Amino acid sequence: MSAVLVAEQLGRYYGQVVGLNDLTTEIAGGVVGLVGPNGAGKSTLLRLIAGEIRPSRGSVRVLGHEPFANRELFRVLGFCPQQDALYEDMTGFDIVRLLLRLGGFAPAEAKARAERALERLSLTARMHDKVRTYSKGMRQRVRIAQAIAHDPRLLVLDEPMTGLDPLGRREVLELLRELGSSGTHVLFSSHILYEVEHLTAEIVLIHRGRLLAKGALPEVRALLSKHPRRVELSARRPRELARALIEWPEVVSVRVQPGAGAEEHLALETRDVGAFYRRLTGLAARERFGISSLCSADASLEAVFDYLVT
Amino acid sequence: MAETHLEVYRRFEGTLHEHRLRAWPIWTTGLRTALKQRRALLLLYLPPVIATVIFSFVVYLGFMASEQLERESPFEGLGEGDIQERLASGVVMGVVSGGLKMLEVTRQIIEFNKAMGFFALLAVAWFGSGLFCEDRKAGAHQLYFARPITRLDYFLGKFGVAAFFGLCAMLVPPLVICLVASISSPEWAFLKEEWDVIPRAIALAFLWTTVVTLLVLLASSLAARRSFALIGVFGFFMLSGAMSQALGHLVSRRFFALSLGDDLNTLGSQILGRSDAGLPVSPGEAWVAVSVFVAFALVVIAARLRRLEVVA
Repeated sequence: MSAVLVAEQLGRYYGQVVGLNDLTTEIAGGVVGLVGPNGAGKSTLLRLIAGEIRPSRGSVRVLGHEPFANRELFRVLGFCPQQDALYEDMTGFDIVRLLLRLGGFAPAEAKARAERALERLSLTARMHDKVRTYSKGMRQRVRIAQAIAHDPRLLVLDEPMTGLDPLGRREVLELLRELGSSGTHVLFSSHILYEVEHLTAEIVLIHRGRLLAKGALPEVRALLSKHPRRVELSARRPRELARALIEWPEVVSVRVQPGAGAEEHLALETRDVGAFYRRLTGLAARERFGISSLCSADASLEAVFDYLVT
Repeated sequence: MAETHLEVYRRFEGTLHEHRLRAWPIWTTGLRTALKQRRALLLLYLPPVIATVIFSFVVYLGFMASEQLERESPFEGLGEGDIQERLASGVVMGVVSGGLKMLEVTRQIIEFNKAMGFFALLAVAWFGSGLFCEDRKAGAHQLYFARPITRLDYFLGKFGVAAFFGLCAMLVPPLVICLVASISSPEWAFLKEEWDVIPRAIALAFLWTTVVTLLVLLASSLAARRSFALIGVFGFFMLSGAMSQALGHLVSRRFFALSLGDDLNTLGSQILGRSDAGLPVSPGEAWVAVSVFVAFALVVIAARLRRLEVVA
């Protein structure tokens, strides 16, 4: 399968300000989360992909097309910008229908699709009200509705969860998951790492306009060899288990931590989590330490983000 | 109550139709939205409507009175010897008064048309001044330019919205008056003898609307807010007028052409076939000045639309 996105030495400058610098990457498709701190260049990258702006240097190809002002690509691309972008005096329905009409849909089809897309975002009851009466979350729903209404092959969403309440967030996450499972490529940015992690393991992490990491989250984490992986264990005999574990070459450190009541936990660091898990399985089968829980404390996106960015 | 939507999203299997005029949806939606501003429409169009009704009535009464005079017998109370002489003078007077009436109506239509230019400017400025700057401010251009349209389509759609309101003020009233004059004049004499007023009025309406719309869109493309664009439009008219007066009197008469209002008045007079020696700008200079302005406005608007991409 050809890549959805191919960027080569992609750069975009706003005068003296570097928005994106020397980004070379390929994204195969599926649901991909774009993460990075404020000012990292996420919106710039998404706008380059959506053909809203031209690269200052390098090139980007999206679904095989040069995206800037490419009408062929825009037929199969849905873009949800971060800015408000809506007319106060128009209704949500009118905005979505207008954009569908601009996409080449006949009036009846545009109307039906606008209604369906807004229904998907739970806006049916308010879709004929003017945008000026909408809450921030409702405006966000309209923006997402216009991006999905024409069934794009690639959906580009800049901070799609902004302004949504918890229920709205869950609905949008569910929607993106469904779109992804039905074959739509989804590329979205978010500050909320938990939500990105909840939706996909495929991430692109950029910082200060440069690509920091790309790929499946566990693979990215495994590459961070200078940060030993933290593993937390609960066992009936934690101190004896600690004595056994500290002998292993892949284990860097072991600490016994107080838990609830008289219970104690082990917190250890390992250089090779794969080897550690393999040996631990054997140990647990041979000895009876009563291991009751095991978790990797810093394999989350947040931990990876912290390691990479700070 | 919370809802879930677990149905699979329906994929579009049909064919997308390429609009020949891709600006059409922008134009129609823009008009629909603008036409909802009922108070503004009432304030902006009530004076032209009242003026048109009154003026139509005046034209109608003029023709009726003229017809009444013509119907009066020239032979009443005359001796036999005077009949031939009176008959000749009656015919001459009838022809002359009819001709004068026709000329009078034509002249009045011309003056009325020029007066409507002010209302056209108000309407275009009100409805057109926010078209680009409000889009830029809200980021709406990002939604437009993620669709299969070009910047030219975007411009044409917006131009159409503003121009529509200009044409409503510039084109409809003269056409209504011409219609009234045609119906009121005996045996469609107005239509037969002065028919060329209609295409001339249409040409003037299109010229005036095009130039004024470009001015408003130019201001909108440069301004950060709608109110600034409004100030820019009226400021331009006033400043260019004042500057042209000062430079025209102090340096050279050619500088009178700096006033866009005077240029349009000169061109209006020329298009309507009425030479007016009192106008400070010659038609040639006015054409040059207006052409330069139109070219300048188009270049700046194109550059500003191109630069929309760098606005985050």
